[in-house]
Amino acid sequence: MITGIIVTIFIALILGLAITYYVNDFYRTHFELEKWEDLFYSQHFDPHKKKIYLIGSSQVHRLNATYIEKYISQIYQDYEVYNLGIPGDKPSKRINSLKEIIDTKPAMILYGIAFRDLQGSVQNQIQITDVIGAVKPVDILPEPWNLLYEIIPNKTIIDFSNFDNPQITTLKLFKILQNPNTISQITPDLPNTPFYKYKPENFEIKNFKSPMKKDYEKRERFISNQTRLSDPEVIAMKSIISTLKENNIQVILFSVPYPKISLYKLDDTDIEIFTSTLEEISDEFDVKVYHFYDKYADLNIWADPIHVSMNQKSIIYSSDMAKIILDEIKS
Amino acid sequence: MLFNSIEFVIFFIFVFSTILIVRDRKFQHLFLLVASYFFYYFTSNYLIVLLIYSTLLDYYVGKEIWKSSSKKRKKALLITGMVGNFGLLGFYKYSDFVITQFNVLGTFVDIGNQIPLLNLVLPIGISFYTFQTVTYSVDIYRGRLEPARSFWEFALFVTFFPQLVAGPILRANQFLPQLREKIENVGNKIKLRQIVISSSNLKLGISIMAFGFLKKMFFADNIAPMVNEIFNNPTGLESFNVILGSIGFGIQLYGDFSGYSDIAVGAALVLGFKLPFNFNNPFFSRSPADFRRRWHITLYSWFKDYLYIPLGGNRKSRARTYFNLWLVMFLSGFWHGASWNFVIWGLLTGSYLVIHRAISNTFPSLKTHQFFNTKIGIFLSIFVTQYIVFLSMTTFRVRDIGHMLYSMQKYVMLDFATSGTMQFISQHPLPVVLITIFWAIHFILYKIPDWLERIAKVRLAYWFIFLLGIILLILLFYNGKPQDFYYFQF
Repeated sequence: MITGIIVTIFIALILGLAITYYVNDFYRTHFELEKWEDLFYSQHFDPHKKKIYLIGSSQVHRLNATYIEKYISQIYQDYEVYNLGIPGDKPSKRINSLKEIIDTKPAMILYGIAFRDLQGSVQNQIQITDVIGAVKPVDILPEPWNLLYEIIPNKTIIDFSNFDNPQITTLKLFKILQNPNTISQITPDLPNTPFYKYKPENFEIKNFKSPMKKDYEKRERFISNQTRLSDPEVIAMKSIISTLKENNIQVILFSVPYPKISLYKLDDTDIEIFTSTLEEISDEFDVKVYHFYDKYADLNIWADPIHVSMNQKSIIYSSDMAKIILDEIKS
Repeated sequence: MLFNSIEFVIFFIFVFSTILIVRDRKFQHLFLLVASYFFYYFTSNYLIVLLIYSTLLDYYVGKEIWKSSSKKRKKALLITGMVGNFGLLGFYKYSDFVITQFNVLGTFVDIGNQIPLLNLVLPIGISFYTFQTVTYSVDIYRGRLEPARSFWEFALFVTFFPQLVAGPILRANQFLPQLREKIENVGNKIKLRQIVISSSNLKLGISIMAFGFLKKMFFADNIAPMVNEIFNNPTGLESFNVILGSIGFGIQLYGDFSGYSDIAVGAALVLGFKLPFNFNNPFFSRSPADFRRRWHITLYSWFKDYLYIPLGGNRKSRARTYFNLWLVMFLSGFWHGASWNFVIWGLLTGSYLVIHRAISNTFPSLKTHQFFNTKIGIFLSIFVTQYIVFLSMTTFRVRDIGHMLYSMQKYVMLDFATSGTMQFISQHPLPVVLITIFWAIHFILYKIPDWLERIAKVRLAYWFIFLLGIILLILLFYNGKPQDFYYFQF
């Protein structure tokens, strides 16, 4: 009898995992990011509207494209604003979709640069004790997952890394089941933000104490002192700007914002190298640079130690960006 | 090690398999003890030293109290034990709170110097195991309990992993006999109980665990983002939005904590141990006193037996009874955390109990009034009780005093505005649907209290469907972030 119960539990567990895996895999291969990219770049844009793109990584994602568009439309009705931020984006990645971007003929591109974007490799992690001042127990035991990977070859372990939020997939599939006609009209989670994947925590505003300890432990260090104009990411960025300018697209650079807790970890030299690199690129290609990196450092608008929240209470980021765009259009 | 982590699943399978395969009694008990220490060490690393200190202290204090014939010495030993236990708890839990208050006071009287905070990490479960070990010494002092036969038995009582970090708070007389329940005299030797995994316990235990996981990972974790959005900055929200947040938080807290308790009770039962349940359909309480009896049962029975009754309980004057009730709730608020919002929560819930008791005393006929046995009467009792319970939950959740006052004002003084709330609901359909489903399930549980026992008795094929359903609900609605159990911070 006990054997029967144990077998039942294991079959239920394995079947549950298998169904979840299948559902997520099905959704990902049919409807997700790659699909959205294809859909976005191949869509028929309104020829009477001029397009403004915001590009960069997840920190650019936090700009509300519809808010900015609405703000601009108070004076200029012929502009569309799209946020094309992609989580983890770097110049060397963005360059791969440059052709598609240019083919859609945008009028203006605002490129958000984070400290880490100009680096080639991941640096050492910031320790929680450095930032919060809390005492963290010394880790003596090994990480269980590492042990597991040592015992079982990597290939035999199912990769769940793409299924970071099965709930979203499930809810979307429910919608499709309710109305199968919507399958061909799968749209991104936010209007005018085609590559954004909805996560509820992005809309929260957190304070700077305990809730962020875990996030902070995992975060990469921003920048190394070695960043130079000859670094591959800097070269890739120059290439992007040069190509865009050749195609008569106005380019504006901006450094993305950080909270005080993150800036605290950087040396003055780190910031100096970063800003001077952007200034040098600005001079070389005659593009404007706006600095946001310390603009909101003291404000309570953050979802985590590097991202502005997407909450309405953090709208200042989008509002300031809208003003810049408006000024640029006027000039 | 979180119960809702893959590490715990692997750990539990390993412990279960070992106990199932190796039948040697001594090995089983020793293995459970080592596994429990590993469980704590995995999460808390060097802070395990405090757990061992607490165990050693109470084991020897209990033993000495038992041996001593002098009342004075017994008392002195008990006080030593309590100072040792509560001193540790106070130091780790309340030092920074006291320093902060002192610094605030200092700025008013212009002392100038600021005392630096200690920034101590609160050892996980210290509030729970401290209360647990204290009961052991007190019960021996009162002559209600014999000391454990060996240090290892006592250590297993303190560290038994299912209940170690967040209860249920066990009493020694509930657990120690289970280690020796089936002692057989063979010659002069007394044997420990052999831990036998039975099919009925296994099935029921897994059913309880599965339901606990469902409460935590399906309900609590998926309602939490909505609650966070409301209470991280409630200023400007409508009354109904604040009420929705309070109800959501109440259910989140219940799902989180009772889910943890269910997993603990179920895991223990799989291994052949019975732990007391911590909750009994609290959202169908008909009065504040009834709610106290149904929510975090083991904590409030602890306060009742070790504080309320020694203070005189209701045996003295009415005024003294009210004071006792109020004090107990104030201290229980403080037990939850070193923060003013918990103090306010304690005072508020204490006031509920005092007012309820005063009304009962002044109008004794109300207790037996026919109206309160009609459907409308029962509904009204439950509704009013829950309305004030959820109000107190607001103080439990909101740490910022300004936000708390705003939320409470909106909760009590209804503005009857709905547009913002409707928009909020349309943006958060899942948590709202989950709250509705939760109430339906809670109602079924209220009507059929033994439903889990019934499920555990069905045929394997049906039981498989029950398990698979729960697993799918958890996995398919998993939001990608395993949340800490709320009560770990206490």
